Amino acid sequence: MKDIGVFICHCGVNISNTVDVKKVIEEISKIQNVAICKDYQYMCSDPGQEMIKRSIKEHDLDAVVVAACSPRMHEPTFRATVSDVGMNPYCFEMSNIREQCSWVHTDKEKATEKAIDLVKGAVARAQLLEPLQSEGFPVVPSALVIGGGIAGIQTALDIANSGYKVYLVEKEPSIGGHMAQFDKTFPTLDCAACILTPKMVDVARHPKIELLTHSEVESIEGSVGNFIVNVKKKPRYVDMDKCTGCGNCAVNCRLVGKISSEFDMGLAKRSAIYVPFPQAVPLKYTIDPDACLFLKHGRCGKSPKCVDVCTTDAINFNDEPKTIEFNVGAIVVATGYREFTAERKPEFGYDLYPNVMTGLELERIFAPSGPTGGKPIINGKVPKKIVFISCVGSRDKKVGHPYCSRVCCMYIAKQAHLLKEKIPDSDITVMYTDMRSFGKGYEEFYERVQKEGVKYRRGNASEVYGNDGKTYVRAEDTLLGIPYELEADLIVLGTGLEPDPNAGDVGKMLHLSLSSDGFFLEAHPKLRPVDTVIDGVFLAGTAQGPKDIPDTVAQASGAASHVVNLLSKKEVLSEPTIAVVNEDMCVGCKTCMLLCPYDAHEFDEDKGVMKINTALCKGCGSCSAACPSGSIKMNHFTKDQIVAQILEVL
Amino acid sequence: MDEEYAFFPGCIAKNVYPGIEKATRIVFEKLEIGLRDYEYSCCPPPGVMACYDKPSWLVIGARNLLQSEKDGLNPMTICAGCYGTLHNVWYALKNDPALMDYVNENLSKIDLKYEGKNHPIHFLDILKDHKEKIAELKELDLGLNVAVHYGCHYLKPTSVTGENSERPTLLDEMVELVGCKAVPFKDRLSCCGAGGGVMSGEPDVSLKIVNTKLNNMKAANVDAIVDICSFCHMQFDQSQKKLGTTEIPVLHLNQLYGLAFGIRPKHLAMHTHLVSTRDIVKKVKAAKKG
Amino acid sequence: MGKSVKEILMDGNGYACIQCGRCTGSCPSGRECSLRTRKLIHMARIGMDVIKEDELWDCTTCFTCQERCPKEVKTTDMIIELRNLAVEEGYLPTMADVPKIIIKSLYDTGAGQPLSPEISKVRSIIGLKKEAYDVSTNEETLKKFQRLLDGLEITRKGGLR
Repeated sequence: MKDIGVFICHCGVNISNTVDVKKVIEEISKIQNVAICKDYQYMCSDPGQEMIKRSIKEHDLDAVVVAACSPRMHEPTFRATVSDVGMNPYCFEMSNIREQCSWVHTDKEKATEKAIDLVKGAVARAQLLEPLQSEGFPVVPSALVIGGGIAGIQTALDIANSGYKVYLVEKEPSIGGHMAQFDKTFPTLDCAACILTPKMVDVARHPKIELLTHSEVESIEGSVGNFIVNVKKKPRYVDMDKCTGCGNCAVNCRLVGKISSEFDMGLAKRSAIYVPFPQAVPLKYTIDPDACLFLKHGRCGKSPKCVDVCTTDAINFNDEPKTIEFNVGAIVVATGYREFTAERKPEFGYDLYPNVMTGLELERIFAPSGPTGGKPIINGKVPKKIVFISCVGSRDKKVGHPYCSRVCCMYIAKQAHLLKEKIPDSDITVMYTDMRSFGKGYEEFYERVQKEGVKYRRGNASEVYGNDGKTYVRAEDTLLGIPYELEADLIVLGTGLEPDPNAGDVGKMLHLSLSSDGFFLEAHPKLRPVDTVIDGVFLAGTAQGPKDIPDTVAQASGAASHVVNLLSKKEVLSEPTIAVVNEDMCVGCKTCMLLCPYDAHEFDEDKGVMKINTALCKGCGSCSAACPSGSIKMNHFTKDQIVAQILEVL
Repeated sequence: MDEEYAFFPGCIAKNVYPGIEKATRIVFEKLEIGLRDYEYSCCPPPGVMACYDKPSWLVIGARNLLQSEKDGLNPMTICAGCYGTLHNVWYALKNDPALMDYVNENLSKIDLKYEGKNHPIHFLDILKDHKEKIAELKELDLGLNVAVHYGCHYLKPTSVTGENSERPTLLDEMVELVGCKAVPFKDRLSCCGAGGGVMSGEPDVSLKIVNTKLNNMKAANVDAIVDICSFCHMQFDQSQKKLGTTEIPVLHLNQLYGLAFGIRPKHLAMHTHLVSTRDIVKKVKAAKKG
Repeated sequence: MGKSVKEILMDGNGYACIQCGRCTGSCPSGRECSLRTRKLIHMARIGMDVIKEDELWDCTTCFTCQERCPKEVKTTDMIIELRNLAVEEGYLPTMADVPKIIIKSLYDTGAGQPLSPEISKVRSIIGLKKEAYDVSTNEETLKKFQRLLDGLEITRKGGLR
């Protein structure tokens, strides 16, 4: 018979308002093996925990039950409490009489009865709990960062500067992400490339960073401390060791000026052999296999021009994808965002009128390296009448994006400012729903832009229409209460952010959940913004939700600190609440192996029985339930323990 | 007849523009699609009736829907207003058992019950599956430049109709089948201004709305307006007489098809329209000869 | 079944409105008169007497606003239901007689728009039955129809009883 201590929490009034705690104590104290039953206002507080520790010592308790909130809240807290005084943390049982009782019932009498039953069940289980030991696994002192935009770059630099090796994988031929496409950033109007490129160069030069561009993660196995990563390096058809980035190939390519440039949002053309932008890191050329004549048709004129002009003989049409494998201890997901597809709002005529552009397209017009060399020329003309439309694809249930994209109000203000600066006599109106200028210097910037003569008219645009070769935008000026329309030479859609489409594949590999807005789900919305519920996997940047550059960089550094936290440990302790195979009973039928979602089972050929990889097993219990010979026991959730609990509750 | 529908002509086609009813009967007979008549009442109008008392509108609408249930036929409308009523009543009752109970509670007083078995359909959605036959039956390429008018209740609300209300193309395609061209014009999808009880209750506003639309059509130099709604049809025809700024003849799609199939305009009661259809008739005669 | 303004707002998702104005901006009637769809929703939410507003009757129920609303507010459906309430309280459209005539015609003949002798003649000439086969053809059926209407609010609101 064990001596069990039971501790009932009031949780302020969260529990005690509905459950008669005194009655529970009275009933529980009657149980034979309950040595002591006490209550307290906030069991998780210092005095509460002290009370538990004292009781363990005074009454020489073998197990402890705390009846309080959900174990998801404080099981780790109380396990630490009992460990402090030498009790094995797995001899601790938590009974949820808050989320599963006081919070969901209003009938006090019945709620109290239920609480008593639940605690009785917990006591019955506690009687059968066994001490368990965690196993330690060595931590591989390196990290994988998926995504080479500003978030990935910042995270990689921070981790590498702490002394750990980082593999930075980026699917495009260059790192830089969307920030590389921007002209100036709000509110300081820093040139985006000027503040980004030094960091990009740092990444390239850093001895601890292995930069894998034009590459994609193919598979990830393993668990925290030891992930086995397979990366496919897509063929560039250019030997990176030989290429000097001189650009002769691109200039001479037979398809020069023929292929739509993705980096320039389709507003400019490139060759089949290209770098996405002049400041690309690495500055190595890549051949687009969907465009290149030689790769598509087996010939390019008499001979490919790129081969002819390349002085270092770097062109290699026989290049093939290569897969590399490596181990890391932690992973940061920084896959970024994609701009909302403006065609999905047909009322704005993006596909009908050439003078309707998205925010990112206009950004390329501003950029000095862009299609117009930074001159504000749209379809061959300098626009005079300009209208910005906010909230395109954001705050919009019709396109499945009820969320606010957070950055559009400010980038519209920035773009309006830049247009006013470049075209002083322009007439600019921003048709807005709300003005969200929440960050440092943002409100001041908004005031400045208004002072520069940009008109803000409240009321989102309802439609864009064309008539007699002109385009018009309709809206209601809600502050005046009048519907109106403006003729415009340039209409800029403040398109919002959505998750990068490739992020889904990465998410599946890592078993990551998504929040309802489609971005990756953080472990806790308030207190754990860089963690995920998968140990060892962290988030940074817009992959987790729309945010501006300062917040991205802050979060990236936060993720890096958590990675370093993990990597600095020699080993990670696994949860011992996993499956165990009784080798005497196991017949090696492999049913468990087929069921396991974490691929934690292996067949031992010599012994003819199953073995469980304790690092991978998450203790879900599927194998134990299915095992035909009943050979698999779930630590801390044995059949006896569960049945005892159920019988007592009934 | 393999394909057959319960024919719901609606009050306007029956009692104001019978040419539309006649044209429908002719076109569907030629397409070998059966039309059966039932003891229908006014749909009732989604404008006046639903706005005065929505529950009453549901009951009267359900009474119409149930008429052809015993024969397993789907009701077919030729007025987008009637379609708006029948289709939306059907949808509302299908998705809310409490409303269905309320409706049947009332219907039981006259020994009727609505089971929600059939599915109202607008005639355009039937014709779209007979494009080949229509092309075969066509005797003349009418060669008209037309302003097509979809009618709001055929397209919206899209959660019920499933249509593409920003970029519909079906009616444009259907007039092309008989050699007509759907000419683009400003605000081509705009309301005719008659619905919601506005034509009767706020006639000034109704006229302002339709006047703007008619002027937009005039600016595009169209030969005719082609509609798929008897109510819009009435609005366009009658309002031009009141306004006196435009004289664009108005045709229901079935009248257009009737003409294309070689039926004489008089048989489609085109001579009774308020806006003279003489120019159309002339063009049709010319098409015949050519 | 009369709904209160609050119930109409709840059913129509009116509380989600962010007053963006896309509804008014899309309104074909609003361009020609003083109807401001957005304002009507605002008035309803803050408890103003929206059913007294004349503009409530300028909406043609074209549903464009409801289609375009980013918050899925059922603007048109709400206007229709607010009108039900307005009629109940005696706030009617400008030409209040005309809808009444239509309702009476519906009751007397089963058709909102009755058949005139002139049109009847046209029907005969073009080869249709001189009177369409409908609810009014059979006297028994019409009486039953009227009995149905007797039990509905429309006849009371239309001033028939």
